[in-house]
Amino acid sequence: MRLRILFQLGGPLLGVASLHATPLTDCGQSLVAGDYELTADLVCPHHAVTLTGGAHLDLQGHQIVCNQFEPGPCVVLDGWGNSLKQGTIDGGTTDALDLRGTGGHTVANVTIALIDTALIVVSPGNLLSSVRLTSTTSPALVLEGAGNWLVANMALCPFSVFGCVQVRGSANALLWTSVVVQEGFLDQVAAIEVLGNANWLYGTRAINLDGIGVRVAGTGNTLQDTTAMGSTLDVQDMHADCDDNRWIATFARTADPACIALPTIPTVVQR
Amino acid sequence: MRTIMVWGLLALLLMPVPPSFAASQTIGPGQDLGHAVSQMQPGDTLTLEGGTYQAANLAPPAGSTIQAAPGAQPIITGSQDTLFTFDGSSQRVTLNGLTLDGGGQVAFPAYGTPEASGVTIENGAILNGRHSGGLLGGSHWTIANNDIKHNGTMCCATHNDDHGLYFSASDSTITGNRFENPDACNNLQIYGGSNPSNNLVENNTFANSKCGVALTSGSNQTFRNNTLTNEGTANGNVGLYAVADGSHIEGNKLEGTTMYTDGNVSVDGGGAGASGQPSTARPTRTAQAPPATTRPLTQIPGTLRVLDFP
Repeated sequence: MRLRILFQLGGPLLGVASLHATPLTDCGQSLVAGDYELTADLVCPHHAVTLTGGAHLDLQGHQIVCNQFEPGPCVVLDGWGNSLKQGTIDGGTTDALDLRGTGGHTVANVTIALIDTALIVVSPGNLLSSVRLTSTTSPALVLEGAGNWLVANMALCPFSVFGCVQVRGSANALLWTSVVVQEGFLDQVAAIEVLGNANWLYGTRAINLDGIGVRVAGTGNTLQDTTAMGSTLDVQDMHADCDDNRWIATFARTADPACIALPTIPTVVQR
Repeated sequence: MRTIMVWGLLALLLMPVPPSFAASQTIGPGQDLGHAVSQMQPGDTLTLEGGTYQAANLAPPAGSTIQAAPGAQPIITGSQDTLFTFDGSSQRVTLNGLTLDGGGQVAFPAYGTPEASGVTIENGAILNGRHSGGLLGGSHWTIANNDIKHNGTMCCATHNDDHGLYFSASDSTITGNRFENPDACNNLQIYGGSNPSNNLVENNTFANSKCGVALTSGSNQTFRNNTLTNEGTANGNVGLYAVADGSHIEGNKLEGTTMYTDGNVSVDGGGAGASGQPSTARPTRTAQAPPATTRPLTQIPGTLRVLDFP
């Protein structure tokens, strides 16, 4: 009995294979509560799958591929408490994965192939860990929901117009997030753009080869142990007095406004 | 002496008042367009003689007009990120009769931030954008009677999808334009931004793009009386993809093109899900075998159908 409870509670998070998972081999389905798995790549002409609540889908290292000439979303987590793990989503022209509904979803060890908008999180209380996102034009991650936990995720944007990670929601925790922008539009793009309030970003690593590293427009946010490098500016707070957001232990070379405390870089003495 | 002072004061009072209303200026191709635009005040009009002008990220002031001289065809080109950038300070700007030529280098010849509003681009052309002819956000745009052609350099296999027009705005009208962007994914994509909705797309022609027209984001888009010819060339000619909720697809002519709708979209007065036929599309990739599952699975309503001009 204890073993069964352990599997039910810990299985989706710990990557333990479920004993009675149903193979998912057809496209365009809505999965109800239960365990599902991919036993081969799933290639779909349109939308691939919606998890409607309590559904746990283990990709088992396989891909879900949607029509590369059509917009998404390719995969949707709706309702409450779905999980998706261990595989790749290769979406269409836009929008690979949406987290909707009442939230509480888990996404772990998932890679999203290059697309315009990799992941949109609308719902609250989700856990995303070790998710790798790539996106062009629009952000790789649009975080609109509140109270989400994002742990050790990575976003890469070869070309970005609106920022690579865009935090619009409030009271989210983003821990050890790594973001890289290669080409930014109009030199105004920030690798991480925090528009919402009361978010906690810890251990962020942001590199923007063509713009700004981290920019905060919201208030009440805490940015702790941030390392940022931008070609035009490393960190920026749109509130000039540095009283609206907390910047703690920021490692950067340039800041706007200057009241964001930066480390003193020691002078190299030539002998 | 007093008489002279009185007459002087009278003369001052009777002098013409300096004009506080909009000014007009005409320039030729040898003159600096960027400088001329930077000198414009709100409501001014700048007229361009025929010829080629270099430009980068021009931001005309609110209410201003930049137009072609009668019978002239001014071409504006450059190599920076945009030719024109419209933001909150450039509302209600009109471009009339201009050819915006990105030369394959300008990322977006026309760019509108989410704060842009009331911009009109009419009777001209948007050509050769490196990514898309325009990436337009905000609201209340009018895009009318333009050639929007040969924009985009990458599509599909790389997922770096370029488009004829990447439209993220709301409450706008796109009418009477001629779209032909064979290297792009979508001739027109309505996607992104903050929920682009309530747009009217009518009386345009769309031809030969790889993915066709996509009405993806937002709600309540009206797409009517357009002609689509050989659209979706890379997608089995599925060239109209309409899934924005509450949208109306009416009176369009589809030549060598099929459409896909999904959700609450009405087609010629009927609900797509209710009146549509089963999908006859050839999947562009091989679908897997039917599921071996005992769990209840629900089919997502989707419709693929060929429309004839009514």
